[in-house]
Amino acid sequence: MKFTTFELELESKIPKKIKVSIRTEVYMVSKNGSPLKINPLTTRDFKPSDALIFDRKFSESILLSYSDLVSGNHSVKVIEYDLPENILRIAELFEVEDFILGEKRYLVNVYSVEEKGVTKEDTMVFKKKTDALRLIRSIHIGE
Amino acid sequence: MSEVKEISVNYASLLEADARKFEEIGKELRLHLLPKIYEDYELALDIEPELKEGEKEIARTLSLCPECLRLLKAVIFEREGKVWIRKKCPVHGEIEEIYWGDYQLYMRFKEWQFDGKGIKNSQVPLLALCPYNCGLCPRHKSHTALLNLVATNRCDLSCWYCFFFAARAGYVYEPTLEHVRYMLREARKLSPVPPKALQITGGEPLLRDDIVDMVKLAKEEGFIHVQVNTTGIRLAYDGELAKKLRQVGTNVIYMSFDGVTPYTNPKNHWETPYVLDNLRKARLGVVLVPTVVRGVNDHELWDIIRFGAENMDIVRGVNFQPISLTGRVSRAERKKLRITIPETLILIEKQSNGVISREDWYPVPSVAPVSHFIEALTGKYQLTLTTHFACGAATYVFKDEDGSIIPITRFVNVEEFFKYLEEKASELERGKNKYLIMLDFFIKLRKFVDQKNAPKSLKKGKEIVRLLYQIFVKHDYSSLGKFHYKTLFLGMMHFQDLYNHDVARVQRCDIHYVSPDGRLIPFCSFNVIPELYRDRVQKIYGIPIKKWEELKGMRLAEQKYKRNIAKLVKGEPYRRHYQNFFDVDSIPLEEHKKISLRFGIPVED
Repeated sequence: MKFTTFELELESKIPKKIKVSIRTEVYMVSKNGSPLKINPLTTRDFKPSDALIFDRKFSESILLSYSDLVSGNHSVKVIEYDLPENILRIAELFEVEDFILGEKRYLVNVYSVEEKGVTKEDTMVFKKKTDALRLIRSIHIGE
Repeated sequence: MSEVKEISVNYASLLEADARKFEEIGKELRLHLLPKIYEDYELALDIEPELKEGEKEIARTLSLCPECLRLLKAVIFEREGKVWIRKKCPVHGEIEEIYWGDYQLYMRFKEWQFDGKGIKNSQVPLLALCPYNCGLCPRHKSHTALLNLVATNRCDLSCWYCFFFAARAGYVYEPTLEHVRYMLREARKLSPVPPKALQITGGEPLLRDDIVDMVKLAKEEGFIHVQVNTTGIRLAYDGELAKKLRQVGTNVIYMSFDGVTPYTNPKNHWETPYVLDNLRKARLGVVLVPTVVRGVNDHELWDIIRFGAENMDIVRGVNFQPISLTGRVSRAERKKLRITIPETLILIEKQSNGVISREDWYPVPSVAPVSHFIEALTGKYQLTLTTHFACGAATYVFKDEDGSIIPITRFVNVEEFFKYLEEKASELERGKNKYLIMLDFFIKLRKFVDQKNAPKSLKKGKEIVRLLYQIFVKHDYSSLGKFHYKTLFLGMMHFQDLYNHDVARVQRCDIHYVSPDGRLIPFCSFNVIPELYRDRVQKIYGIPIKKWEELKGMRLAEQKYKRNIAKLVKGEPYRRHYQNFFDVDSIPLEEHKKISLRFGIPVED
């Protein structure tokens, strides 16, 4: 099963000044195992057909959507993972650096993985990476 | 029920249903009513519109093709001192439109953009790109500042340019009070800031016999501010209705008023003096709402403000709306009629000989620092106006004892004041002691007010400083009401159309309609793409005209207004209100009648 995520840099001036970078890590949780960081299968350039997935990742948590991408200079990398079998959950960790506010935030999306696909279960935002990683480490099956 | 075509609601059978039943139906229908790709729209995001010689790029955005509603990439650029938008549809070619008529003002306004915190409980899942995914979705950046509720699509007028009213739509859309209760409750669920201001609109909402009950219901459901958007015609004849509306808590009447002469305001010129007198008796304030059209009434902008100022005992504000060219409009026609916010501001400056200059106006989101400051101080989410900077502008003017008009910016350093509040809000958020900040605020407050240029009435006892202190230190908003009674609010709101459509504006919109299925839909989706939103959903919840007439025992055509011009022109209120604006004896009665008929309103012989 494929899983898609993004890394990006965006600088926009109108209507709102935005200067942000997002770095991404993906962790998998398999049966009886602790979360393990996984490596991407491929990376490629962003296409408009990725826009809806992009919005689902970022609009609710950090209010960033395809419309913001279009408004500025951006470099977006689409990262695709091939999820091994027996994975029951995955966690996506975004390091979001806002250069205008001068702050970093860590956004964690947790997904359940079933045969029919991947479903987002929860989204949380942290100020420290250690707290985000602690959450990811606490993900066990059934919790 | 997978396709819109199959969805129907037998509304005639729901006239006695309770709010819970409407909730069931709304939840069932909501997802089915969303626009569907390839059925309702397509995407064409591979074409980047190009710049031409002499053009300077300002921004990129997304927009729609006015012909086929395809989502397109668009470029916003400067050419010859004006701001334009261009997009290119693979089927319908290049579309170019004026976006803002003055580049310098655009650059000044853009500095005041503040974005909102978004919606915590979005109403629809993300199934499509913006703007095909409304109710409020997770992309939406602003909460609802003003909620619009369509009370009816019936209207007693049949203005030539309107396609919305029942007789032309073929059905009557008129939610029952229990249905309205459901819609308002659904809207009030919005988090983190539920809407507190409601506009009841139409059609003509005053045609409903239960309009007073509807206002009462809105107050029960937690709306602090309720305004009724009307032509005012019924209020000209029914002073008791004005009193009843006031008694149940209507805060203001929002009344169409396009000019001070019959030529510029054929809609309600003759009735307006009588409306104002009845509102005076009821002590119910009114905001005048001129739709500004190039070459039609743009020469009367200052006169409209003067008219508001002359009737300041009852007129609370003037809110100009540069025309939104809905429907399909030829390029030549658009060029003839289109006027934008900065062009309107510049005309007001010229017509008033600089009494109100373009510099006196600020974009709507410029007041966001006030909310940020109070939010940081109290720890409670505040209503924050975070529309796109290009959507609207506002200022306040004071009428001095000698009758002269003074904009607030001439004696309050608004710019420095807002910047100071934003800085202090930021310090509070970083944990600085709030008592120290309040002390600093109290000391600095006087610095923002230039007493020597203030209107005489406000110099007494340094009243303006006291007002600011009451609002920001005591959080006593009754003082804000007092502020309104001494001033005239001047606003400007340019709703979009398919030609100048900008998705970045849609995502920041804070004027929303509550749809009968409970979704909150941004104004510029609801009305600009009616086939996907307004008309689609209202038709489903409507009753065919014939059936409605059977149920109500009345005919729609009988409700049409017929104006007795001779009687209205002869009345004392007519002369009293207009004598300072034109020679009221100079227009023969036959000419008055012709103007009304040409507009589409019949007259009594």
